[in-house]
Amino acid sequence: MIRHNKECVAMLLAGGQGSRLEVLTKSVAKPAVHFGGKYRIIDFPLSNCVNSGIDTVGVLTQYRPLELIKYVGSGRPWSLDRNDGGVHILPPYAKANSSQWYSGTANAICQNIEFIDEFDPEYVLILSGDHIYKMDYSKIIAQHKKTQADVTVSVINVSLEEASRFGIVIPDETGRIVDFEEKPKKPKSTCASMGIYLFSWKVLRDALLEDDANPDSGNDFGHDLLPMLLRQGKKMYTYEFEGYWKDVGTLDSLWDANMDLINPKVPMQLDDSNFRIFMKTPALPPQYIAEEAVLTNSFVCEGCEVYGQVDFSVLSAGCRIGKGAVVRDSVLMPDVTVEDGAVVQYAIVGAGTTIKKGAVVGSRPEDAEDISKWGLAVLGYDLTVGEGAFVPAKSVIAEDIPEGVKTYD
Amino acid sequence: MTNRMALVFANIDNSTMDLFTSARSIGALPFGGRYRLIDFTLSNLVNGSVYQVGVPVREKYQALLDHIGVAREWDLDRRTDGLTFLPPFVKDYDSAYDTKLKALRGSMMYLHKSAAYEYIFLCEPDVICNIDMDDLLAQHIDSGADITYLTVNRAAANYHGTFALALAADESGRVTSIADDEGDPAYNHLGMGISVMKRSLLLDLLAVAEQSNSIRFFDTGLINRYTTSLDIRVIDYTGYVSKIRNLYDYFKASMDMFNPEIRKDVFFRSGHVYTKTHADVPVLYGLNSDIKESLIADGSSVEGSVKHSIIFRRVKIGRDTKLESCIIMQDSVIEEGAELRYCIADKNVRVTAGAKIIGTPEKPRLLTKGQTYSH
Repeated sequence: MIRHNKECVAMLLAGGQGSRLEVLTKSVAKPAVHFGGKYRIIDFPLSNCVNSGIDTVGVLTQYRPLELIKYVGSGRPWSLDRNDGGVHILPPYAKANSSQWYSGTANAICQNIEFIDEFDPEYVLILSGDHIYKMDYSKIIAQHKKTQADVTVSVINVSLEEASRFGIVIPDETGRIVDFEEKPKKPKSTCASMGIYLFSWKVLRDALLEDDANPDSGNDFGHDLLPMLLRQGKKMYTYEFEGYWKDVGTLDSLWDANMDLINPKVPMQLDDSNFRIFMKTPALPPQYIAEEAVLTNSFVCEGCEVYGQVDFSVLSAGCRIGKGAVVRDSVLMPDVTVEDGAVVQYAIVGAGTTIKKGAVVGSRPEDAEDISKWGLAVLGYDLTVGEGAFVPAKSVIAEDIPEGVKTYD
Repeated sequence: MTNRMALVFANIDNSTMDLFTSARSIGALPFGGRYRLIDFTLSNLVNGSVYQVGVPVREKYQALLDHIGVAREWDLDRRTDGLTFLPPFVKDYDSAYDTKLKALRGSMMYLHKSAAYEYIFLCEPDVICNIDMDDLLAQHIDSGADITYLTVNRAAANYHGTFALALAADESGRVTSIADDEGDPAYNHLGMGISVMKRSLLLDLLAVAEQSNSIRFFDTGLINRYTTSLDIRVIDYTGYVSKIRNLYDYFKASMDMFNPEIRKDVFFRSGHVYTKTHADVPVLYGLNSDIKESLIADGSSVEGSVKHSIIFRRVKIGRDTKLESCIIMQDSVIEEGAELRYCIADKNVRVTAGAKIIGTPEKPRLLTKGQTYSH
């Protein structure tokens, strides 16, 4: 059999729970969370791979993988259904004498050395399913070759105040990495690691085995493997990314990133025919906007029916906004129904949830008596908020709310 | 694999919409914001477990091939069966190839090869409806009929468009005569362009046609000879149906899609309607957008006022524009301040800033594919 070796294989870490997304990741892994109306978070790294000429991707799953496995399927939407290469779901598996969950990000890759070896690549790109960004990975590969690096870490310049929230990379003037700091109180640099690492496969392979043999290691890329390689004097460089990059690991940042899509001032252009973000598309008719609807400043998908008022919101496929209903500053995942006269403000509403007539979800910050107690209202999946019920700001709801009930004292 | 197959006659085109069908066959006519007419027929078939589908084509079928491709969207890219295009067979190429009978004769090899399929649906690609083919076949088998035509009752109210075929049937639904529709009330049923019979019977009938030069048409010529010797029946369809032949039919059917009951019937009655998908972004509505009673497809952006209109994929509608009762097909651009009423714009039309183009309900203005309009 003829085998073509691949220059670069991408490994996408999609096994984490993303617990800070609370109800939204209670039943699905974070990369499968809906985003921007038509997308799921994983569409971004997968599309980036395809747009960068990487056609072999391993997706490492562990936490609640069903939704993700169904979504990725054969990889068709991203043209990753290939005879040679393509996208592969890689769950943890039982071995002859033992079985082990993925104990850390590095361990997940270590348990799949065989998969990577099959393609005999020069380079392995480690990605995560936590971020919204468009990136041409071929550029990081080009720089990696040019600097003859062992490891290249993609970084983005953040403000000094923000730097203490990130893993910080300290490079010298040539870009060679001299140190790492994890969420430093007094950052020595503003280069934040994006969690995107390009390794020469030989270096990574050896490092993974060495790390695996070390019982004191947490088997994590950021904490264990990269510092180890640095101590060993490996050539590690930063790659400076410029452009839109947003972590969607918290409810607030997920809402922010959604709102960025309808903000013309934010440099995140999804509508670029040369660098498209692909997704699985449902078979639904075009959106219907009724005579009595008022619809402005919004991102709306197929299958939606809008009879009410929608402003500054993202409506995913199959949402229905009833007569006299108001949806403002909110993100609605697929198949959400907002019945007649209901109000949804500053909220994230999980897929399949129904907000019955006259119910109120969330409130506006300017109406809050105490702004420190204000926040987004978040509803989980397939819930029902009963007729006339009230869900105040800053509540995260995981269960049905009966008719007329106020969810606070 | 199931026991049924179909032919979809994309080679037939009796439409009078020259402007829109000069570059494409009728099956490839864009409809409803994101569909082509043939999507409804193909979706009905796959929703009814018909996975062996032959599509005879005649000419100007590039748009159709481009749209259907390997028929992935309909799950017809399959191992043991699937969708097969049947262009004119070169050996006896007939430059006309414009009737069902000619297409059937040209598809003999395909029909013989499909020996595993007991029943065959014969479908025309110009009908908008969402029918349960599984149920139709079950009714056909239960009735013991040799051939069943799906029809609408001439006296019913919920059909639209131009039906070519008229059938006279008695009260039990038994067909006594088949003719071209000339409005004769004795022919109390109108053919939707969907019929079903055993594949073996079709082959027997085609063998008869081979022997006779006088038979020129399939339904009105060949089948009509057998109304006494074969049990031919009609089943009246009661859901929404629109048969598209002329511009009026097209405009009317398009505007029907604003009706929520009709939309539910057409898009969800017995299954989803599949079409070629693109990775288009959601629709972006701008600060001053004002949308009333409209259907808008993904990839578009709207900054102006759109009323009672159908906007296809990736259409850009600029600021201060006014669109009313328009159909704008994909990738068109309506620049700032333009005003359009009763216009049908084909793909890739550009309307320049400030242009004013006004048609009437009876005579909509037609804007040709790829052209720029300033008035």
